[in-house]
Amino acid sequence: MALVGAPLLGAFEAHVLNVTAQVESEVVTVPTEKLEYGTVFPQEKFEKTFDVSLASSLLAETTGIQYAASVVSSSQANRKNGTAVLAARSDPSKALGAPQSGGTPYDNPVVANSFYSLGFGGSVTLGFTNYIVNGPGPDIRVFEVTGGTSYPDEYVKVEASQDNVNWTLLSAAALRDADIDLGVLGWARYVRLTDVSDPALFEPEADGYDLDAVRATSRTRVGIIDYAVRQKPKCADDADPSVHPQVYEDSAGNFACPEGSHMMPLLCPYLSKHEVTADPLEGEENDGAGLTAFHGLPGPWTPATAVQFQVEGRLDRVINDNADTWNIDLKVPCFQGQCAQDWSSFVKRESGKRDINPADYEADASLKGETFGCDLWVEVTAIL
Amino acid sequence: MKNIKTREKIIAGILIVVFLCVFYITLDANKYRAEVVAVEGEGRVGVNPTTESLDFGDLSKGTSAVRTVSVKNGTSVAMFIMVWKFGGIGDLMKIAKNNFTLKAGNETKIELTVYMPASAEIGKTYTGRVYLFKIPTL
Repeated sequence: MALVGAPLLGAFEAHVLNVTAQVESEVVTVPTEKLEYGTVFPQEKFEKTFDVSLASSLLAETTGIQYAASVVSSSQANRKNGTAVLAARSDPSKALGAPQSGGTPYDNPVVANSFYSLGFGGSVTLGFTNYIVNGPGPDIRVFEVTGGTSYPDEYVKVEASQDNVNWTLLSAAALRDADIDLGVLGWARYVRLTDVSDPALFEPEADGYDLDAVRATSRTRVGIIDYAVRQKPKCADDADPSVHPQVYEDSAGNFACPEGSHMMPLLCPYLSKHEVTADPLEGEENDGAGLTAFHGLPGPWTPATAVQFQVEGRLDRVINDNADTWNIDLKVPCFQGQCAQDWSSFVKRESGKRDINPADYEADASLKGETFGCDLWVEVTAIL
Repeated sequence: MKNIKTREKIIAGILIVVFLCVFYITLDANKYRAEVVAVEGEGRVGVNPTTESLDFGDLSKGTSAVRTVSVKNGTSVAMFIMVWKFGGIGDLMKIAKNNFTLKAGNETKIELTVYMPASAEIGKTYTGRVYLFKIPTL
């Protein structure tokens, strides 16, 4: 039984039984067991930081190559003399997959029935299985077919799109076999090619740009990750307060601590969170506005509160925005009946809210000397 | 002599059935590669939300990451779900829900948490495998 079992453990799943298991794309991290502020006094301010980045395993994913995989649409035009393009050159699926031509200006011998002629002014839109990702150097190459040793130049306009709705011009007139860069686009899934050859230069039977294939960079993921930083209560073990079991949501939808542990006094409302690194594209900050201290009270801290007061960030591999640094600024509360005269102005100034009720953020006097806590959870919310 | 032969046939038949059951259950198990990298510093996490493996990304000491596996029972019988973990990452991993019965037609999520301890070796990639067995119950 053991001899048979070992190979089976290495075998690909057969899924004989209709029970499916799927790894969710959601990733949740608790960035630090403790951002320890130590012993603090009312109205003091302290700063700590934590970093969220693209994992090394994600950054190690390489970019491959792919060829056009589907014909999204085609609009073949006529030959110079106004007649239809020959049938053998009218199948747009011939532009899919790897090229039969060599990518040289003149392809001899020309492989019959291996390309799609656009006709003068005609176009075709091609779809790709994976993302075409903007990287160093050209990202797209178009393959054109021309036989013989002398022939007028055939040109094609090349556009790319992420959604087949909004198009970006990459090249107004690419000559024959050409390398194209995605330019301002970070990624694309569609390429549209339109013949822009000058008919005046051609013989009457000429049929415009002859498209053999389109090759592009290929990645299964672009590498754009959206995440949220959410604050949740922190638990402490009853027997050993230095141990912090993970808080969870009970059946009623409230935060709860595992048996044998208790919820620490809440520090979350007093933490501001701002992303402090400059994004690579000047003037195009892709992280959220952040959150000032003094938020979320009065009332219990629920999962809905955690979502309401979350902050968002984005990591974007395409523009080398691979890491974000979040500054966590603690504004220490005072205790009821023991607050300084300027407590009110302190809360209003630090929160930036003129209509806030500072009394809501006075800590219970019975908690004096206690250790307060708050868990910061980084949750991936979207990935492209 | 005749009775012994009959008993042996019965035993052989039972063993064959058991073997086939183990064969199908093992072949049908979901097998995931798991990995996490220990990075230096404090308060640092790197995320890689791939669905092709249980990649817990990069974690500095004292941080943890949670990945979730959704399990759905599309059969008409209850299934006993058993999760095994192997490799160095297994020592860092906690499974929130294990050895439980999933009723027919039901779906559940299993959270796997990896915690990077203070004793972790910086720069090391902890790898392993997680197997999810689904055993029909009577």
